[in-house]
Amino acid sequence: MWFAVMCATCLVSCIKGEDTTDTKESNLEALWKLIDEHYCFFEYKEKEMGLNWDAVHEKYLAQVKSGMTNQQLFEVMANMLSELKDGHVNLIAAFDYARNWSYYEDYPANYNDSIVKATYLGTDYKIAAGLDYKILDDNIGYIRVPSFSVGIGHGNVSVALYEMALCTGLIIDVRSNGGGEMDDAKTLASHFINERTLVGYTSHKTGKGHYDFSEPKAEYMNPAGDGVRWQKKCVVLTNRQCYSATNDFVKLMKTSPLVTVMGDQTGGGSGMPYTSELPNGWAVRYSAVIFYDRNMQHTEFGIKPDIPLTMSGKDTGEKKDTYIEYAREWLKNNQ
Amino acid sequence: MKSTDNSHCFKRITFCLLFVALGMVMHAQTDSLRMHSTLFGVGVANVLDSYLSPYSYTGINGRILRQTERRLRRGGGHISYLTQMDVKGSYTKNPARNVKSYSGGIRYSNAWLYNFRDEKPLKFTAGLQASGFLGCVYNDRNSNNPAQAKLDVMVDLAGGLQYNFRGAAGKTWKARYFLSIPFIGLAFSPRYGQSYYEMFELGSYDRNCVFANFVNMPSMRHLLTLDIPVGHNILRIGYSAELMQAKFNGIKNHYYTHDFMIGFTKYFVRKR
Repeated sequence: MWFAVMCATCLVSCIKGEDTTDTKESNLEALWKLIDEHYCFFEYKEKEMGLNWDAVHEKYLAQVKSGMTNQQLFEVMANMLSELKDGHVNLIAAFDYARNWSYYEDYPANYNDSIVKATYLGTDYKIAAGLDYKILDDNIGYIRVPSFSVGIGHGNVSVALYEMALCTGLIIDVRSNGGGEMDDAKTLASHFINERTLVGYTSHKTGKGHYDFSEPKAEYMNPAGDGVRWQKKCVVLTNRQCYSATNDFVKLMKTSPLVTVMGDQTGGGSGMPYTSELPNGWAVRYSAVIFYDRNMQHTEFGIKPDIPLTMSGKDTGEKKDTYIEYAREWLKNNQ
Repeated sequence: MKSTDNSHCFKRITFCLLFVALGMVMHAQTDSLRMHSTLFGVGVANVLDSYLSPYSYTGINGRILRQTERRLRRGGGHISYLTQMDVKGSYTKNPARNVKSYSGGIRYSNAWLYNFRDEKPLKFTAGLQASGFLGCVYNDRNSNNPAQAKLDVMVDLAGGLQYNFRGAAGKTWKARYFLSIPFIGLAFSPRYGQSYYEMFELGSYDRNCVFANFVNMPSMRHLLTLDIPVGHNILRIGYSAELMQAKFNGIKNHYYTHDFMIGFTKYFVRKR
């Protein structure tokens, strides 16, 4: 048996990596194959926008010429990836960063940082890790979360909420927050529920096929064990630039009965992005794991608000933020 | 392969670790002849993990190998017991040489070997080995898939040759060759596109405890050494080739190392 196993082991072929031939054509082929075997939204995007990845291959392979420059190849590849309409899909070279940011570039910003700082936060607001917070003149608490990349702890959230304990209501403004750590988003959201809550489902690829996925597994969020849990009405302000972990935050907050989402639809980005590479060393980022909402619906293209809002030009002229003004009135009338 | 939940998986691995630990108990049942050896090695590495990158990374490798061999009283004195602690670390780069990767781990193994032709200059050994490996591969560019954990507990087929001959100054030199082939066991692997976030943050496991065998893990470890008496000491030089590879859950990986080894060996004979 010993000899047989040794022979069998020798006979089994080596487990090798992919071909590293570095030509213009092979790099495009490698990129197409990488996405073909690992991208997680083919099924959804075939239905939603008629994506045909095989046709994409033919279209862009025909544009590759052996004499083209690296910049020209990069442009062809970037255009190929933009067919996926996914902000989590990028091609990264030393000289450029290919992206599809149409999820917010094609829509009104609905956020003016200068107005928020000048009219509402002022200069005396407090900062608890990634939370900029202040009690507004009408006793409404206001927390601005510009990013989930800072590192938000339960202590930070509790400090801010404790200060606002006597407020009439609370506004959490995540507009133009492009995401960050999902843990930070969950840490903040866990202060707005009182019991273990079903917040969504996850599913990952189990093979190379476009439809090879694991059974969706339920994802639960536990209420914050330590510190303050908010028990009054809360408004979350969103715009199209709420992406990735911020999109996830809005998904989590919508499971709380205390929370009302106002503003514009979020930008989406519900896939967890992985990184890989091409033979020429360029990095590739792509969505790899699907996060559904609690109704097993995709949020890849965003989450609709409970109350849609649009910034008023008149308000902007008066250095007012339509979203914040509306949320303040709504909280006072819906205690 | 059946889907296993978290606790089931860890029960299996715990059972296998106990099997490896059985070797430690055997210490109490030795011995008349002992060999201790510590070798330091440097060489090259070739590392692939398709969870991190589809391409092989190449670079340098370093390792420390500690061996202890004892002759057991049982089996008519023909059975020896070999313990090995093997620590390795590699620094590699992608084919374009613009991304770094760090790999490494520790393997502990216990082998029970039957010695044939004990009294002859050319001896043979063959037997079984229980081994466990814990390690990781880290890619310094990746974001949500920056690293891959490596864990396996295996029963290996093991064997070797030893040839004693007269060298310089009429002293006995020993040429030894040792081979081990992972045969059957358990290994950890994420599912094809599964994230560590799902496993460790959401507690969502999916066939992460894999039945490993010589077909889906066709690997070999070779060690060729020469013992050269130098004064009252024995210098050991050698060549180590570790050709580890596997394909679990659609994820391909290999970790090839070739090292030049050097160190000292001591032999002890216990008088009873």
